[in-house]
Amino acid sequence: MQGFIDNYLIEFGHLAAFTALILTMVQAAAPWLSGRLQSPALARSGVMASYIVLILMTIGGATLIHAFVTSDFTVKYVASHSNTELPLLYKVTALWGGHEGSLYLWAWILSAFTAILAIQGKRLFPLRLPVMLSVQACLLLGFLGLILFLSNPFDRLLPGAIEGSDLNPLLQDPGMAFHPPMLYFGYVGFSIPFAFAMTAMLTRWETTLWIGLIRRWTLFAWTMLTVGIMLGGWWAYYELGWGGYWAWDPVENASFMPWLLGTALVHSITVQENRRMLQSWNLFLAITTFSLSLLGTFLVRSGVLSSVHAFAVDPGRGVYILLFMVTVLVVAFGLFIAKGRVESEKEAITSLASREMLFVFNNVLFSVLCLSVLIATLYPLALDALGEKITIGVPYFNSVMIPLFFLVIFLMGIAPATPWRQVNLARLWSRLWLPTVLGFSALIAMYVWDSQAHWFAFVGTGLVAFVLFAMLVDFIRNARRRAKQQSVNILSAWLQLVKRNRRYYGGMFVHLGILVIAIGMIGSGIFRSEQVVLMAKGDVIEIGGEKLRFDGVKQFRKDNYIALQGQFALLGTDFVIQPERRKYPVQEAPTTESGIHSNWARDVYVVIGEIVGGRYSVHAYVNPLVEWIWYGGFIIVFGIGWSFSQGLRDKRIRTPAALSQGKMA
Amino acid sequence: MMRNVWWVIFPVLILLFGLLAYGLTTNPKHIPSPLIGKPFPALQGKDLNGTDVTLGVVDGKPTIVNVWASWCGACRTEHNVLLRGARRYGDSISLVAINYKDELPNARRWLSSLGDPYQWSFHDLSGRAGLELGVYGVPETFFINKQGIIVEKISAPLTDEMLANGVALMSK
Repeated sequence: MQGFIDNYLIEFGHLAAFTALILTMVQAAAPWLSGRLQSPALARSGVMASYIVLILMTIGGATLIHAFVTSDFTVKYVASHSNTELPLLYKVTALWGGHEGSLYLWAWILSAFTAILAIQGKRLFPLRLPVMLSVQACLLLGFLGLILFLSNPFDRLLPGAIEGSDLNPLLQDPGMAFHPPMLYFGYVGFSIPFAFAMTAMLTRWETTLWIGLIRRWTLFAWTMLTVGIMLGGWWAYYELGWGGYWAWDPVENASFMPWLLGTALVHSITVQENRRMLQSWNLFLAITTFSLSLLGTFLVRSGVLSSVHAFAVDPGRGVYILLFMVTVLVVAFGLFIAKGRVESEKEAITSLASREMLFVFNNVLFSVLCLSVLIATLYPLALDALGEKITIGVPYFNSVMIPLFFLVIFLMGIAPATPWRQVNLARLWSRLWLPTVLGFSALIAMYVWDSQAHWFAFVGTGLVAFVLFAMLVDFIRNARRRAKQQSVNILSAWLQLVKRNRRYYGGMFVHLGILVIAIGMIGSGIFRSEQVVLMAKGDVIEIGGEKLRFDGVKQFRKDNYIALQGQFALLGTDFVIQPERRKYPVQEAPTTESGIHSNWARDVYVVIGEIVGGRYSVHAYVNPLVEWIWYGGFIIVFGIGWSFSQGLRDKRIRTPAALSQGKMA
Repeated sequence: MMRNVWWVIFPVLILLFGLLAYGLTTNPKHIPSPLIGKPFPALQGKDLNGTDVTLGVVDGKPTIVNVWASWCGACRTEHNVLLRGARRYGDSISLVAINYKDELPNARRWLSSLGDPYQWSFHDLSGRAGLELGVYGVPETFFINKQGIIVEKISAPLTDEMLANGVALMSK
C-alpha cells in the first residue's frame, strides 16, 4: 500500500492540477454563460469554484513537496532540482528552485488570492464578484495552461534517476529560499487591483465606490514586493561576494518597475479617497502595475535578457508567455481606451499649492522613474535588433535615477505639511523654515567633512535631514495641539496620536523607513573602501580604519558541500571573520560566502579567493552604514503593519463601496 | 484633446511586443567558446571497460565528443537525440563520450538500460579531462573536424537540429 501511494501520489496531484484547469475555464465563462442562460445560480458558482480550485492547487503543491521531501526521483523536476543530501528546508523550497515549480507557485498563490477575494466579495460586492472572479480565472487559466502543457512539474522520469542532480547551490540559502515567494506575493497581489479595474470597466462600476477596497490589497502587494526585493538585495550582498546589493541587473529592474508604479498607485488611491479625482489615472495605474508584474515574469522566465537570473529555457515557453501577455495587455488597454475614460472628475485641482497637486507630482515622478528603467532595460535589446551589442551599466542608472529619487524625497518632506485643497504659503513656510535651515546645515556639514565626495552625498544628506526634521516638526505640532485640547502632557498626546491615526502614522513610519534606507545607501554607496590583496598567514591589512589579520584557512565537509574557510581576526575585537568558499560536488559549482562583521556604523566584509603562489587573494571592503538599509526594511514592514491595524470595523463604515451595496441591492 | 493622448498606449505596446518577440529569437548567453578553432587536446585515459583510449579524432573521421553523467537529469533527454544521431549518421562520423565524475556501476547501468550510442566513453572520474576542456556543466558537446580542430561547442542538451548543424559544420 505504501509503495502504491508513493508511486501514484504525484499522479493524483497532476490530476488535481488538471481538474483545476477545467474548473477555471468554467469559472472564467460563468458570468457570460449565466447571462445567456438566465441563470444567476451559475454566476454564483464562481465563488465555490474558487475555493475548490484553491484546494486542488494545494493538493498539487503538496504532492510536489512530498515528492521533494521523499526524494522521489521518478519525478523529473525533483530529479533535476534536488538530491538526497539536500537539507530538508531546501528540499521544500526547491519547489520554486526552477522554472516549472516557480510557475506553479505563481499559480498557487493566484488561486489563494482569488479565494480570499471571493470571501471578501461575497460580503461587500456580491453583484460584481462573478465578473471579478472571471478575470482572475482567465489569468489563472493562462498560467495553468503554460504549466500543464509546456513546463509540467509533474512530468515523470521512468526509470527514475539514481540520484538527483541537486538544487543550484546559489539557491541553497535562507535569503534566496524566501525571495521568490515574496516577489510572487507582490506580483500576484497586484492582480487584485487589476481585476477590480477590469470589472469596473466591464460593469460600469464607478471607481470612487471601490477604490477604498483595493487600498489594502495594493499595500499588501507593495509590502511583499518590497520585502522580496530587499531579500534579493540582502542575499546578493552576502552571497555573491562583490560587496554590493543592487546592480541594475535586468531582472532586478523587472521587479523594480512594478514596485515603482505600485508606489504611485498607493499614493493616487489616497488622493481619490480624499478628493474625488484621478479616476482614469487610477484605472490606468492598476492595469499597468499588473502588466509590469507580467512583464517581470516574462523577462525572468523567457531568457530574453542576459542576466544572472536567466535560465536556459525552451523557446516555446517564451512564445507562450509573450502571447499570453499580449492578450492580457491588449484586452486590458483596449477596454481602457473604450470604457475607462467615461467617468468625469468629480472635483478638480483648485490650487497648484495643495497636497493633491504634490501627489500628482509624486505620480509623475514615479511614472518617469519607471519609464526610465523600462527604456534602459530594453534599450540593449533594441540596439541588438539593429545589430549592435551593448550593455547599460550602473553609472547610467545612477545618474538618471538618483536625482529623480532626490525629488521624491523632497516631496516626502513638504507633502505631509501641505493640506488638501489649498495651502496658505505663509503657514507652510512657518512649518518648513526650521527643517529647511537644518537641512542646509546638514548639507554644509557634510561638505566640510568631506568636500571630495560626489555631490550626491551632500544633496542626499541635506534632503534626508530636511525630511526627517519636517516629519519631526509635524509630529510635535500635532502632539502639542492635542496636548492642549486634551490637557495631557505632550508625550502621551504623541502616543495617542500615533495610536489613533494609524493609517497616517503608519504611512509616516514607511517614509521614515525609506529615509533610513537612503542613509544606508549614501553611506555604503559613496563612502565604501575596498582592497584586493594577496595575503599569507600572519599578514595584517588596514582598511577603512579597521585592521584585519589573516590566520590561515580551515577545511571541512558539511551537509552536501566541502568548505574552505578563511580565518581573519578583526584586531581590537574578539571577532574572527570567516569567509568561505564552498564546493558542491554534485553540481560541481563553487559558491562564495562572504564573512561579515556588522555593527550599526559599518560592515567589514571579506571574501576569500584563489590561492596564488602560497598566498590567498583576499577582497576586503568596509561598507559604512550598510546595515541601515535592512533596518529601514524592518521599519517599513512595521509601518505597514501599523497602518493595517487600524480597526477594520470603522474602515468599513467609511468605505463608500459599502454604502453603494445598499443602493444597488 | 487630453482624451486622445491615451491612444499612444497602442504604438508603445506594439513596439514593446515587437522587441520582446525579437528578443525570443536571440540568445543573450550565446558567447562562442574560446576553444573553437583550437585543436582538441589529445587526452589519454581508460574507458568504462578499462581499455586505453585517446580523446581526439577517432578513426580519422569527424568526431563528436559528448560529456555526460548518470546523475545528470538533462542528459537523459539528450540521450535519445544521440541514439537517433548514431543511427542517422552511422559510419560517416565517430561518436565518443566523456563520462564525467561518475561511478562506474551507475554509468554502466545507465548505458545498458538506455542504450549505448557511443563507440566508447572516456571515464573521467576525477574531472581532469573536464577541467582541460573547460567543462562547466553537463551535458556539453564538442564537434571536431577531421583535422582535429574544434568547430563547435554546445553547452546545453542537444536537440536534433543542433546535432545536424554540428555535423554539417565538422564535415565541411
